[in-house]
Amino acid sequence: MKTFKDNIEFEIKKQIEEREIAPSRDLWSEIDLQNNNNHRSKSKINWFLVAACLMLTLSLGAVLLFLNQPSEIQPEMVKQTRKNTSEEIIKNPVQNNAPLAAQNNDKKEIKTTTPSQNKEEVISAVAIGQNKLIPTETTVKKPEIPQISNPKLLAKADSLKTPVKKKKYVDPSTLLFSVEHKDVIEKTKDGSNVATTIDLNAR
Amino acid sequence: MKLLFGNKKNDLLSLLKKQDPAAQKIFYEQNVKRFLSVSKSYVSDLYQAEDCLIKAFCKIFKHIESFRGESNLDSWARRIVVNECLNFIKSHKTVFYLDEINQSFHEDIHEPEIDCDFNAQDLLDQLPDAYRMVFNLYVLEGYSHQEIADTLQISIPVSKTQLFRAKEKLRKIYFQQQKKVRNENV
Repeated sequence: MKTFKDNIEFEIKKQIEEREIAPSRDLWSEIDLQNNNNHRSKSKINWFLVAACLMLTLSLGAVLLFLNQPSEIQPEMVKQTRKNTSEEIIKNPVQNNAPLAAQNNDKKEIKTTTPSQNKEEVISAVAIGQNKLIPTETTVKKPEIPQISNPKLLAKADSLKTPVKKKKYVDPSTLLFSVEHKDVIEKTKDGSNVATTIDLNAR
Repeated sequence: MKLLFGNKKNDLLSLLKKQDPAAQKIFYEQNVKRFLSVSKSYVSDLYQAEDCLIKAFCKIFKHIESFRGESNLDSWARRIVVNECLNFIKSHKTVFYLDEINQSFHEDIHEPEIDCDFNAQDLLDQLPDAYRMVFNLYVLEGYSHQEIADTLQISIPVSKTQLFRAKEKLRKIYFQQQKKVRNENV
């Protein structure tokens, strides 16, 4: 037996399903408009994506270019600085007309400074490779500056030495004199070898 | 165009999936009145019901590619219309669900048969939103209490309570209307 509730439910369902309501306004125009807007927004998003991708690639390319350029410039800068210093140092010994005895001191200094030069060679291998200079003792031993095959070598050695305040040198004649009169000098000065500095420099 | 499609719903579906405007228009014309009736059963105001229907049609056309054809296209679209109406009610109105009541109240009360000359929409319009949603989902859409609970995010006992109270309310409204009619006749 059907209850009241079943009847009323059934009747409501029947009425709603059979019913058709005509829209009071033009719904299709609004639906069509919204659909078109959705499509347009989609296309806009796509264009924005494309533009963003292009911008990214361009910016990345620019960054890579800028990163590569300094690495090429740096060795040139090192070369230039090295050349400048070497040129300056070369000029100085020539102008000063340094005596030969000073080169003996230079020899020692070169010996001590060669390891540091080696370090520099390791750090800036490209720059020094282009100079094609290897500091050796044989080239420095030559007394005459003009005879040096490559003046840059001497410049390198001098660039590393500390400035000498007073350059002492021994004249061969004074040395011979001191050896010949060694006994006399020892007697007068209790063994201290001062005579060379007093007598011979004044001469 | 209608002659081209005829009853071939598969052709219509394939064209809808291609976002063909002509096919969309045909689908709209075939279903707008029926869907507006469904929408009006949930949302009392006709203008708001039409707004819900516009959004529902837009969703149907937008997500038509996700329709796999496992169920009928009309029932799938109707479900979207119902969901859109429920979302509208949830977003625009505060819905109160009353606490669950004793099981004894759920027992059906036998009543004499009624006349069928009442207006269903008038009865539904007088129901509170919570009652109407549960009643429509249960009676019109054929949802189970579990499905109603999942859809409205309520518990199953609350769904049962809302349905029971909705039926009681409908009965009261119906008898009040009958009394008015009798008094007018007298």
